[in-house]
Amino acid sequence: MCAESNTIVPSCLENISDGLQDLIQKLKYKDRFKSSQVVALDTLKLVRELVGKKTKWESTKDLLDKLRTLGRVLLEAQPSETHTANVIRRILKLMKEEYQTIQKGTKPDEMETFSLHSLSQPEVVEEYKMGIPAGIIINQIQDLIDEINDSTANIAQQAFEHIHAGEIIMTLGYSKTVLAFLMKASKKRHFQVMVAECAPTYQGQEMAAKLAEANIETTLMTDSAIFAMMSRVNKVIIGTHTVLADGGLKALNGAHTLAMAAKFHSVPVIVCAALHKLSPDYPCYYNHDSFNKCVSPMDIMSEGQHARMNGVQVYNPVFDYVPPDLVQLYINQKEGIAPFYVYRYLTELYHQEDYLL
Amino acid sequence: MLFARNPFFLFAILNIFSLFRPDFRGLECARVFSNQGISCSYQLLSAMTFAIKECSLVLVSVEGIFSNGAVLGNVGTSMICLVAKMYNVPIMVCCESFKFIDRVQIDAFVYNELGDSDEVSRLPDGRFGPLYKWKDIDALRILNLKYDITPPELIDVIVTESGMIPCTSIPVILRLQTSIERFD
Repeated sequence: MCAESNTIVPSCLENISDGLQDLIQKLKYKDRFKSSQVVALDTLKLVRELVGKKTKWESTKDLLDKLRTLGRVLLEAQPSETHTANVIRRILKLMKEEYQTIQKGTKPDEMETFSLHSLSQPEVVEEYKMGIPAGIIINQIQDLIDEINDSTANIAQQAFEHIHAGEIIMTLGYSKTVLAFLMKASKKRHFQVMVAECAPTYQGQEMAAKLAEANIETTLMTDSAIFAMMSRVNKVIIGTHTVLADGGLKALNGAHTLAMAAKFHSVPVIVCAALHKLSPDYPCYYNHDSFNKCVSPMDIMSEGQHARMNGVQVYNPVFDYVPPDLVQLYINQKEGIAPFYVYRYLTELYHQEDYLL
Repeated sequence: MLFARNPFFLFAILNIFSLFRPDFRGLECARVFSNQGISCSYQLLSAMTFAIKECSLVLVSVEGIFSNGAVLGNVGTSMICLVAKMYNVPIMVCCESFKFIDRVQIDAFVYNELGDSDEVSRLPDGRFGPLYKWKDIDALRILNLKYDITPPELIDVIVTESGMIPCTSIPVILRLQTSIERFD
């Protein structure tokens, strides 16, 4: 039976209620260092379970609706964790393409040709009445799981194109992708890394320790020294939490200041982000719930210190919005793209109907 | 380091940024101002873009100003000035004229001071984080920079005892000071 704190599961998702409750609990109370890859994979496993339990005669529309509801429930549980919804959107798109293929016997590429001419045509609303065999969808989900599993390695593969011998590279906080990227580059080239420690989480310390253990010359510095050291740096390589639809970033707190300092010194900023981090959301307000979250200020001011003050407001936000004009390049598992090309990936990966779940 | 939101003399709302990890001098600043009855908010330097939108003036105190207009401040001063400049918030530097330096410097490397590395490798509560054995790792170095240089283009005005002047007027004041000394 469900515990009291558990979320009420919509009736259509009752057959996966245990797994769903588990994931919701993880999303709500998870440690904020946990990687987004795990979140995406857990969601996909849940989707696989849902599809596996589908009845033979269920229409595609019902299944699509179920998936949408699942996406909504997960987003509600943790609005800032958009990876859950992103992978569900991708599955929705893949299912719709599969449906078209089965129904019309055409390849999705052929019908997807979009031109000004097709804009003037009345839009055909697809009703998705027929069913699709569960096996096909599960194969697609498995492919996506594999893609996400390999994404870090595939991004790291491109390291040699971007890092030269003798360069000084700056990074911020801890990112698994950036760590793999730099480790890969160090196999062939010798370079230096500067890590900003990223108070108050001090993730940079962990990053610096791991880089140095891999025998990369590493310098750890305080966040306040970023501007002073930037004049020596050749490239800034950072990870991110989400890539937004306008090509901007929702990244770790402090990334905006870092990117501005890089812009001031004309240093290119490269962002390593796997495709499941691409979100069709636009930034609305920098302090809005769906964009940022403020966590306990205990990390920056202890209770004892606060007691000596007279009603000081203490803020400890987690994310920062980095506008697209401060970023030079996104590296995903396929290629490097400029921020202005992000929209193309959005239309390729997600169906327009699913931007709002 | 103060961020005045309402620059009226009675109701100043300050956003205070703690710049100086490891010593967090902003904390002391917040304590003094809040106990004077001024409402304050406090955040770390990395959260600056979160708060700068509510600021209408940036007030900075510095260690010295070189005769090329570059400002020598505690490390992090340049980042505050940069972000404020990008958000079009005026930056005011408060500095007595005895802090004007008759030398030029354009980067933070030639003359600077390094603090104790262990101040950075420890977390603020004095414990060691992931770097408890950093001295054993050969490839790892820790940089605890004390000062940095803010380029003159990021500073709007300098407030001294002889009035408000732009950065470009520092050599003029220096020359006047030396000529007065010569006449004495």
